[in-house]
Amino acid sequence: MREVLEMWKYSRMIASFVLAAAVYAVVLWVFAPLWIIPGVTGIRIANILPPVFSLLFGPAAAWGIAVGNLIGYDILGGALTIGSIGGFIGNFLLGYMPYKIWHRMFREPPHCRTLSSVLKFEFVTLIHAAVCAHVISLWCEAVGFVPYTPLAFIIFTNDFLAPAIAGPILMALLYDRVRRAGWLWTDVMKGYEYLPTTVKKRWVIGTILVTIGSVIGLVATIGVGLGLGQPLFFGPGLKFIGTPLVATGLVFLIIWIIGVALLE
Amino acid sequence: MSTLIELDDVWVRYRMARDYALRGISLKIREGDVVGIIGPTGAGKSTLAKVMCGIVPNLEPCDEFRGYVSVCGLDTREVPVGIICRRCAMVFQDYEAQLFRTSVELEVAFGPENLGLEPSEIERRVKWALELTGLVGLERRYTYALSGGQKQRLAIASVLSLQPDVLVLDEATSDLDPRGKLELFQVIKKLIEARIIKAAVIIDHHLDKLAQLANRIVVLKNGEVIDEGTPREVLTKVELLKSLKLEPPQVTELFHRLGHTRDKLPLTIDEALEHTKNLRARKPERTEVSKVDKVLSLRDIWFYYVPSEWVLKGINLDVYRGECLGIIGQNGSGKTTLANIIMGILKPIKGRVTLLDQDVTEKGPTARIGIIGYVLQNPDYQIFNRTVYEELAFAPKHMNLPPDEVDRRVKHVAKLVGIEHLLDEDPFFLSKADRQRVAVASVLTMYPKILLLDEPTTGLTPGETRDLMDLVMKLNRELGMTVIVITHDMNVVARYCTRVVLMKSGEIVIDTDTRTLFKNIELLRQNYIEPPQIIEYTVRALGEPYLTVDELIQHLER
Amino acid sequence: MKFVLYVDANSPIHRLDPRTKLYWVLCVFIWSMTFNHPLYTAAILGIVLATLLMSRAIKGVKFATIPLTILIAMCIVLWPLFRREGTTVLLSLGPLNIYYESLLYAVAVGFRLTAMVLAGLTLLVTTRIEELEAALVKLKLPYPIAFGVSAVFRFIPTLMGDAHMVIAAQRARGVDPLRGSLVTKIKNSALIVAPIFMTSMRRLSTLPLAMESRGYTPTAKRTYLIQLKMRPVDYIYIALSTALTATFIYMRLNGIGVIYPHYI
Repeated sequence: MREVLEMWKYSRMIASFVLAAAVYAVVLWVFAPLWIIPGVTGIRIANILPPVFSLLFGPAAAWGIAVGNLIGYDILGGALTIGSIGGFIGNFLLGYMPYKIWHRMFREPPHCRTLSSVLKFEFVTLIHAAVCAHVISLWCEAVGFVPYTPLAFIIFTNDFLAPAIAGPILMALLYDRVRRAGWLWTDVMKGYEYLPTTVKKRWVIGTILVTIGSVIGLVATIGVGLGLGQPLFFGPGLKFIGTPLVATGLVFLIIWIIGVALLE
Repeated sequence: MSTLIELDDVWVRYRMARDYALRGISLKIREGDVVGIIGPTGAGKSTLAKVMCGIVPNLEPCDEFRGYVSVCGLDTREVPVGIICRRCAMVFQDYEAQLFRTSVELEVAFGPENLGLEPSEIERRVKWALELTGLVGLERRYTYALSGGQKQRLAIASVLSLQPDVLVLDEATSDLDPRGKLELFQVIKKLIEARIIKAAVIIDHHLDKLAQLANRIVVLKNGEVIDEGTPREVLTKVELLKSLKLEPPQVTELFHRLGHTRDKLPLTIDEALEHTKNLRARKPERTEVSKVDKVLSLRDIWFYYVPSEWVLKGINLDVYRGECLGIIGQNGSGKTTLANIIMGILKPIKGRVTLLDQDVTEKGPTARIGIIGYVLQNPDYQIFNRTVYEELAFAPKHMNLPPDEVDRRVKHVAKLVGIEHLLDEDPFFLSKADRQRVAVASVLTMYPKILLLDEPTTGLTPGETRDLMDLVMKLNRELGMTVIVITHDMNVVARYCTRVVLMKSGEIVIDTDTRTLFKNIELLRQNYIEPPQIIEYTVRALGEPYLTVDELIQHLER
Repeated sequence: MKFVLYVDANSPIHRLDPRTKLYWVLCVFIWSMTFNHPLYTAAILGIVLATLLMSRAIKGVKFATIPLTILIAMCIVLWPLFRREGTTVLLSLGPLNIYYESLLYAVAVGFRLTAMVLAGLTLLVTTRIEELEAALVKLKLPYPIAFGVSAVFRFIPTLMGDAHMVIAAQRARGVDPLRGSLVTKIKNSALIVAPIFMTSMRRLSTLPLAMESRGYTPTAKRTYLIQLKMRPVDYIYIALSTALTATFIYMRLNGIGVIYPHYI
């Protein structure tokens, strides 16, 4: 987590931040969504970018995606609300999760030129989409903005499908160039490991907790929202779904937070 | 005079570079100096500028940095750039990236703010710098909404407000029209006379303009200083400059080829006119533009992005097989919009586009593949594949051609364009001139019959411009390819185009053969277009435009 | 699209200190979350609309009509499906009951969101980015972050221009992001996103050099051209907003203005 604040001491990281934010906002605008259910959910092409930026620019991508979304979507799109706070945090995590897991867990670079590299890329993409969907939707439900269940579904499809399909293509084109040009975040911020020399045990546990907190948490909370899990979690007696939903979501959020803390 | 900057045997090798960018440069910049630095691409001009400001070795990753650089007594290896810039500050070539604040006044204030000056002093300096650069009245404008020329002025203003001792300009006036460029050079001259700035270092390709400002010219080649002297001493070495693919002033070249000795060579048109005695030439033959075989026809094209704000107002244009058509006009006159209409990327609101007798008005770019190839001003807009080979193969693959045909086309085009040796390279790391060649080649593999180029020579040196356009004309001659080139480089127009269309606010002002256009110097002036030196000279001396030095010499009566 | 929301005018709202306006937006967010009865949230929307009218910049807000309409429509459809509580059943769809209360709640949330969006927009149409930056710096946001965010606003239009050129160039080579199956569309889009990214990266590679060549050191102390000053009228606005906040919270605590007492 330290790198997230420390990055602002490097002007090249500030440039990476501007690059990530501006390109994200621009791509958000120039590509119309590809609708899956017209008007409700579609694939935003811009969502190819967060895992790619994250693995290249590290913390600058986390800030960049968060601010790019805030400016490109909320501010210039005229949708600045209390929901934007959740949006900011959720998008921040889109840019935070992939590099964080990668630089603790995987000793192969994310060049996406081998099957194993691609699979790892898909794994961090799955996590980042689940975390983002869970956090934003939980926030929106909690502040009485939009219900959790449909929103979580929409955000997850949005953040997972496009990068899962096209992320590896983009990564294979970009990784070597960015590295050669000296823009990888660990090339700018000396003292951080791009790939771990040894994978510590607590990082493995952290990753497992993060996976549970995000992927399983998302599925479980959606289930509660649909009324499925209620007998399981809260017994048959409870009628209300609002508060149990937030409670379920929070439990998994805490698991996830412990996981992230262990990744330090 | 005291020494401000001193370089002693400086060697620089960038990260992962095979070769040195600078090889043992020693140089002194003294008070009152205005030093012009010239040389071919890759000679190390920008690196030298960055070394003087401490950017190399502090900010650019280097594998090797040897030698000693002192800026006003500061060793650049020991002091951060943020401190050195108070003594020696630089304006970069790409103005977009160095304007990073939202408004004009904040952009200029950024430097003084970092110096920790009092708000009242910051305000004073902002006003002063904007006045010098002719930007008064634009204080609250948004940076992005300025024109290219205004952005370059702003980039210079925002460094002037630091009031450094030494000002370094790296191609910092390339987007200004000739008049604007001279104005800024005058400003720098005045600042040095008033001792507000103590010295300036200027990298520029326009040797004739540079000659009017600099008191010393340094010639670089392969990272070494190969010549140094007053402008007159250096610019009259016509053979040397030509061997470096630099363009000496055209009148200098003319008189050199007429056999005048070096001490008598003129640098400006006025000097040339004084030297002109008994110059007589046959009238050049009128080159007839063949108007037989129409390949592209635009009829009454109207277009807007925002309703009722017309960008194109009734354009009528025919293009004939085998010609080289130039489209000129100021920024915002609608040239690129017209190109996008021709390509089918935009559809006209009204009007008809006919291509090889086919109405393609309603069809998109896919219908034009194999007929028109489109090359843009920035090669990066089209290049993205991992190797040059893949880049060239990309479009034919997308046309679903069989692999052996794709391979044949790639090899054929690579040979034609002269990039066979680059096929395995990553295009991202090639020089701009090479990338532009790759961009042209990647379009040629679609075997187009017409080539449409939008500002293809922006950011190239005169030598590189010639190489690229010579290549295009080779395609024109050998393959009979029709060429349409949008450009603001009048040398390109004079040297290569057979016909020219001048656009102004969405309309065609004049559509004529090149020679007739250049006869009308008044019209050009009204449109802020400056003809090449040789044309202005011949119109004034002989009453008839000769388009190139070669043409004039061929027609001379001795 | 619009790159700048600011509308130049000399209204009382324009003349307020940006910090006052930020505080007011925060208050509106709190007010609209205090109540969930449509009459009360409508009243808060009324306050926001009155402020917007006073700013004489309403033309800068018109573009938000469509996204806002979609947002409200989504609310009115979704909330009754997921807040299934109440006493009066309006409609019975098999096992699903739509309650009168949940519909009222949905309408209240609709007003709430509109109030928030319009409050945010009132701030943005009456405040220049540079004033907002100065305000955030005064409020102790680290300068590098404020600087970076402003730079994103600066670069979006430039990179947008580049993006359109890239799309033109790639379409002329037969890459069409609008044709083929969903997967083909996503893949083709990636082939357009790659050059957009690389062009931007090349452009911004000069940014850190240019920043430092103008004396910028991320950690150093600096001075500012824009000097903000709170005037008496600012204090009046702040006092008024605070008083309203206190009153509204007091009302809510006494059960006024709510449909569902246990939800926000």
